[in-house]
Amino acid sequence: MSFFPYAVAAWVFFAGLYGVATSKHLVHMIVSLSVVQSSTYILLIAVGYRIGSGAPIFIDLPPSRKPAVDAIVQALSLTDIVVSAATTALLLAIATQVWRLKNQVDPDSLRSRKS
Amino acid sequence: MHLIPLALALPLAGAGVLVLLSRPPLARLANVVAVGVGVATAAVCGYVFDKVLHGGMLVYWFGAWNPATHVGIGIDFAVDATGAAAALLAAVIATLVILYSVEYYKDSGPLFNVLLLVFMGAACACFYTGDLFDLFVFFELSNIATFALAAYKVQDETALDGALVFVIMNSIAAFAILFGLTLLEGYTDQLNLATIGQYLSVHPMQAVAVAAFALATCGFFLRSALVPFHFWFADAQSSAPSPVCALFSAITVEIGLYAFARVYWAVFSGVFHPGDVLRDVFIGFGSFSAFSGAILAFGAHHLKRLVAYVTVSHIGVALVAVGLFNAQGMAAALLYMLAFSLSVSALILCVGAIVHMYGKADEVGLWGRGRRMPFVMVLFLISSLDAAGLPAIGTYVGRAMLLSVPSSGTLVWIAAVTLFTASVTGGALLKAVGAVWLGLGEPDPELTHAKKSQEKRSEEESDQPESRELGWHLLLPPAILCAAASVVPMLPQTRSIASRAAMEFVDRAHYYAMTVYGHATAVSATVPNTPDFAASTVWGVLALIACCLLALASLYQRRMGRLHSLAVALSKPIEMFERLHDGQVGDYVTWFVLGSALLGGLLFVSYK
Repeated sequence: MSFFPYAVAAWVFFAGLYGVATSKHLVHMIVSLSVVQSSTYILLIAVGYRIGSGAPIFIDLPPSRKPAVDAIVQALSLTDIVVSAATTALLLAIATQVWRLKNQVDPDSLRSRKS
Repeated sequence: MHLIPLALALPLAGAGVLVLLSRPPLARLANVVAVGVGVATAAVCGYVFDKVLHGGMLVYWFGAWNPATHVGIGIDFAVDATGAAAALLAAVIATLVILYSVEYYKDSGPLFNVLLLVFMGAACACFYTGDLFDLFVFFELSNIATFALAAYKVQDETALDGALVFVIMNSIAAFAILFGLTLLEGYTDQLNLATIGQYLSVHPMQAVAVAAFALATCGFFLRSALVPFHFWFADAQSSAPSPVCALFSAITVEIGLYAFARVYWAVFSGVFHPGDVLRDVFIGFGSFSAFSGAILAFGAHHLKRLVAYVTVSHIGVALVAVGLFNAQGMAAALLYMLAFSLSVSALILCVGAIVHMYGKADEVGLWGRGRRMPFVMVLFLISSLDAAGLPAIGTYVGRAMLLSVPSSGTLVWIAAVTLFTASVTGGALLKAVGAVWLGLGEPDPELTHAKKSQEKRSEEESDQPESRELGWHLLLPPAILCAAASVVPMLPQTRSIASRAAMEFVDRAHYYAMTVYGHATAVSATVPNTPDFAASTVWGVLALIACCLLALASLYQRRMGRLHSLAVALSKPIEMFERLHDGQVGDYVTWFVLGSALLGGLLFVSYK
């Protein structure tokens, strides 16, 4: 088991967080959030991977002698992508609405309370 | 037993039906259906609770994928008394909120209720599930439903700003949880809470345990609005519609704390033994929340922000109880959260009634205007006392249990935390009663001035009619919640159920055996503590006096020369603290990273 994929996942996670924290544009911020989430795809695929094993397809292929990679985490990453699509769609809808109301896409202009 | 999945399936199916009914002529029918589905779900939850209470923990494997060996490949709902009770509470509160929003959202159509039902199903499933990945999925499902609910008023800029902060912070929390659970899955090849816990306790590994526990805990703490992960909470609360705020404070926050306790006891208690260091870490986090939340609440002028900070403070006290890491502490936490979620939802629904009448929720603008709503005042006042446990209702029993937990070293500290929280949050709420309903004292002249100029600017926008009628939909739910908060926690049955539920909750071997084998020996019993009613009463009376004094002092501060200058001096640091809640996502993310680093470091130290 190599530690390289874990390092990549952690790097992508923090790169995304850095993007969210320093963003100057709402769409950029939303994409950065997707980057944070992408790190979990990498991690999910990485933990299920076994060197030298085949795809986890057992139905219409001749049974191979090789072991298969973990099918569960691949299903989990699909679920994860669905979640990501829902969140991103909702956020983009909010962002377009903010643009429509305020002509403003800079997150620094957000003031959720009136002083 | 096969009724268990209905707690999830009913509201989701109901939501689907409701979408079909969203045409205007059917709106009345849609409301009836929404309330009916809510009541049916609550009935299912009640049935499951009753079953669990009499027959012990229930485990339901979807598709009958029972574990053949020690490995559970299937997905299960593992319902113990704690989970069943929490789901029942969530279903009841959500149903009352649906009833409430019939009136509140008369014009907006039933889509609001569709989201409420989805949220309700997801919340029940969060409390029932015994699978780590499903916990994440239902957590996200409840998240996405609340995201859409928070942004429901799409024409309102502040609602959008609050929703954006809310969505981004909670998504980051969910990713942190997912990251942690993936590490666990990679190491143990399991996703079931019980089997992961068993594997970890047999093959402990520090790096995985610390990283996974820290990441998951940060995610759960963000959801339960604990300092320093709480920044999004007040922003979301002050901008979201009131019925949604009630869900935030009374259900989502509890889901976070419950998930933390569940994951700790089912998974990590085998490797993170409840030692002194671990106890200090979480009692520390809880106390910090309790103190900061109370101080912020006292400085708040917006009623919804006020209630949000009161929530932060009380959830901190509940974390202190959970952080004792024993059955007695857990029982205290259960009773405390039961009383608090009921009373805080009543508080928010009362605020919602005011917003409905006057279209605003800030103390200055509402000064003395609540005189026309005496019934709402009575409800708000009683719920405030319930929330603070003064002198002997609501959270009083939870505090009595907490003060009698046998861990002498920290007892003085815990007493101080509960006393401070009860008096300062109670003072803040009573101050609001005095200002909004009784019109005592006078508002801060600076704030009034700022308000006036602001109102001049937005005069055209505020076209809220002042002569709205309060329908029974708006009064009945808070009245029920307020009565329940005063009565239910006081019943001796509730106390004994909580003690038993907590013993079952903290017994990892029992949870594992019930999940994997379907039967287990009796729960390893700890002696239930007899609540220290004397201490709690003394504290209650002291806190009541303190909070009345605080409320009066802050209302009449401008008439008390020297006290006024003291108050001004004290309010400076509070204002600076409040100013950190600036609505900037970037700052909040930075706080999240700092808090996670702190928690991760502390957990690394406390691992043994």
